[in-house]
Amino acid sequence: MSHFDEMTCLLYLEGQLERPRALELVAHAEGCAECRALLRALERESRLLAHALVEEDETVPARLLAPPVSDKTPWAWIVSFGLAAAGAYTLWTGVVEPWRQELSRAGFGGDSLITLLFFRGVFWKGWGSMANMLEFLAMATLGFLAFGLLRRSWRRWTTLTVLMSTIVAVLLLPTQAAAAEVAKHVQSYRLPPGETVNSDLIVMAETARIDGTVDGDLISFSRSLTVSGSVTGDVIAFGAIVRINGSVDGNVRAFGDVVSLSGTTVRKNVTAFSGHFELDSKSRVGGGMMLFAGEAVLDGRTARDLLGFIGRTTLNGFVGGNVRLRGDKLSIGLTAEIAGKASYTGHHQPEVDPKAKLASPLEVKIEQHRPDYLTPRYYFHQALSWGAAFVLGLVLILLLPGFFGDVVRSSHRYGPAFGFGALALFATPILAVLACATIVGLAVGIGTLLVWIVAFYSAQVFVGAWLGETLMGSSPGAGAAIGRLAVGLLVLKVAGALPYIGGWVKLAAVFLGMGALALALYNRTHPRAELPSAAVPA
Amino acid sequence: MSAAELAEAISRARGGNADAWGELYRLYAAPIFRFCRRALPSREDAEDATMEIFVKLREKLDQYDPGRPFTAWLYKVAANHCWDFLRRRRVRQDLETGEVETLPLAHPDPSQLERLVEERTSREVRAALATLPARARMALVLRYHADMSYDEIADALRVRRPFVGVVLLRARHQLREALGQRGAAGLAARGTP
Repeated sequence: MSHFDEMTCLLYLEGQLERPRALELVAHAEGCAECRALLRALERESRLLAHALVEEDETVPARLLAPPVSDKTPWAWIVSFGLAAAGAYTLWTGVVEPWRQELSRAGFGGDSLITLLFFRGVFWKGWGSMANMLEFLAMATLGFLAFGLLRRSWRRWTTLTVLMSTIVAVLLLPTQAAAAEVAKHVQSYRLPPGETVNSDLIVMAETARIDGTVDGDLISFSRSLTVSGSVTGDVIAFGAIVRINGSVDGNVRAFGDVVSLSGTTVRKNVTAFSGHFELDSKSRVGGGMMLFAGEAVLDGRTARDLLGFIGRTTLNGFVGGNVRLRGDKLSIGLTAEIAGKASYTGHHQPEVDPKAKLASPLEVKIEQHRPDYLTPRYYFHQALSWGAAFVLGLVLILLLPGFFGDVVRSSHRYGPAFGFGALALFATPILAVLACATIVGLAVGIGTLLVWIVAFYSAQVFVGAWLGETLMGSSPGAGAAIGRLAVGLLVLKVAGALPYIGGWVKLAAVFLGMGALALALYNRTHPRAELPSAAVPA
Repeated sequence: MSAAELAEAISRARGGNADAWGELYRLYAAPIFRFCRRALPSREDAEDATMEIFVKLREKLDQYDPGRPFTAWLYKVAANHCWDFLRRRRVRQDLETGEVETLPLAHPDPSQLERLVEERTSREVRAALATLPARARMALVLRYHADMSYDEIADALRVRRPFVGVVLLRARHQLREALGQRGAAGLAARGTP
C-alpha cells in the first residue's frame, strides 16, 4: 500500500491542498494507520513550533518601551550636549591645553593630540625593520580575531565607529623611518669606541654599552644601558638602569628605575619616568626637562623649562626657564639658579637656601592631606565632580542604553564583580606596562592604559546607577534611569566624602564598577546559548 | 484596546496625532521586537530593527488599507525589513530556490517524529531555530509566529507561491536535524500514490 508523502500531508494540515486531493487524502487516511500517525505527528510539530515561537521568554529592552519623540524638541539632548560641551571646553582649557603647552615647551610640540600622545612618532621609527614577518602576522591575526569577535557582538555602528577611529589614528601616525640596525636577544651588546652605526640602532639585550657613535636614534630595551659614546639622534631607553655619560644631539626619553646623566651633553630635551633621576653638575641639557620621578637630584644645567612630578627634588643646578614642580618635598641649594618663574605644589614646606639665585620668589602651594570640609570650594568641587559623572552617565544611558543596563545588572552580582574588579584594577595596568615593554605591544599597551583610565572613571557612574536602582526600584524608561543615576551618584558622593570610611567607599565603588563593566563586556563577547548544550547535536 | 478603539487610534495617527502614534507604538513595540528577535541573529539587531521598523511604519501609515487587519500589515512591513536586513548582512546564501526544488518527497517515520516532539521543549526549539539558515528560520517565523498566509510568505521571501510549502517543509527538516534527530528525519521513503 502506498502512502501520501510528507509534503502533501503538511499542505493538507495547513489548508493548502486542493479540495479533491484533500478528500483523497482523508479517504486514504481513514484506512491507513501510518498516514494518520504522520498527520498527527506533523500537527503536534506545528503546535510545538507555534508555542515555541510565540512564547514570551525575553524582556523587551528599556529603550523600546517609550515611543520615539522625534517630533518634539529634544530638550534633554540639547541640555546634555550643552553640558557636555561646557565640560569638554573646561577640560580642554583647564587641563589639556596647559598640559599641551607644558609638553610643547618640553619638546613634545605637535599639532594633534594623537601625535602628542605618541611623542611625535619617535617610538615608531625603525618599526619597518623591527617587525619581522612573524610579528606582523601575529598582529594581523590578533586584529582579525578581535574584529571577528566584535563584529558579531557589537552593534554595527559601534564597530564602524571603532574601525574608522582606528583607521584615522593609524593615518595620523607618522610614517615609518628608514632601515635601522637591530641587535636583538643578545646577552650583552657593546658598540666599541671608534665604531659608528650609520643608521638608527635598536638594542634588545641584558646589558648594552655604547662607546662608539650612533648616527641616528638609539632605541634600547635593555636591563642596563650605558651610553659613553655619542648619539646624533634621540635616545629612547627602557630598562632598569639607564646611564648616559656621552653626548646626545637629540632628545633623551628614558623609562627606568635609575636614570642618570653624568657628564652628559643633551642638545635637546630630557624626559624621564624613573624611581631615581640624577643630572650631575657636569651635565648640560640644551632644551627643557620633564620628569616623573620618585626622587631627583638636579645639579647640572637646564637651558629651558623644568617640569616635574617628583616625590623629592633636590635642585642645585641652573635652570634657564621656568620651574614648575609638584611633589612631596623640595630642597633648593645654595648653588641653584633659576632664571624664570618658579612654582611648587607639595605636601611639605620647601627648603630654599637664602643664597640660591631665584629671578622671582618661589610660589609655594602646600596641599592639604585631608579635604577641607569648611570651605565652600570643597563643596563646589564635589558638585562639579557629581555633575561630570552625571553627564557621563547621561550620555551612556542615551547612547548605549542596552550596554549600560547590562553593566548595571552585572553590578548585582557582587561576588564576581568584586573579583573581576580587583583583577581588572591591578592586572590591567601591569599587563599594559608589560605590553609596552615589547615594541610590538606598545600601541596595544598605551591603548589598554587609555581604556583602563576610562573604565576607572566610569566605574562610579555604573555603581551610582546600581545604587539608585537598589534604593528606588527598577521602573522602565530612560527618564527613570536618569533619575536613579542622579540619586545614586549623590549617595555615592556623600558616602565617598565621609571622613575615615570615604576612601574605602571609593575603592569599593571602583572594584564593583570595573568588575561589572568587565563582566558585561565578557557576557557581550561570549553570549550564552539559549539552550542546554545537550539539545544541540554533537 | 477594542477593534473600534484601534481603528480610531490608527485614524488619528494617520492624521499626525503623536499621542495616537504613541498608543500604537506601546501596543505593538513588544510583539514586533519579539518577532525580530526570532527572525534576526542577535538581540541588538532585533532592537535596532524594531526602531527602524517603527520609523518605516510611521512613514508608510498612509499606505495602510483599513480594510485589512492592522497586525497583518504590521508584520508584513516587519518581515520585509528583516529579510532586507538579512540580505544586507549576506546571510541569505540559500535565497535561490534551486535546492528547494530538489527536496526529496519522502515519508518520515511518524513514531520518531512523535518522540522528537515529545522530548523537546520550547526553549530547545528556539535555540535550534537560531542555528538554522536565514531562509528556513524566516519561513518558520513568518508562518508560526506571525501567522502569515502562504501568499504573504511568498511575497515576503520573494519565492514563487508553490514553493512556500517546500520551503516550510525543508525548514522543518533542518530544525529536526538541529534538534539532534537526524534519524527521525531519516526518511523511510516509500512510494507516493
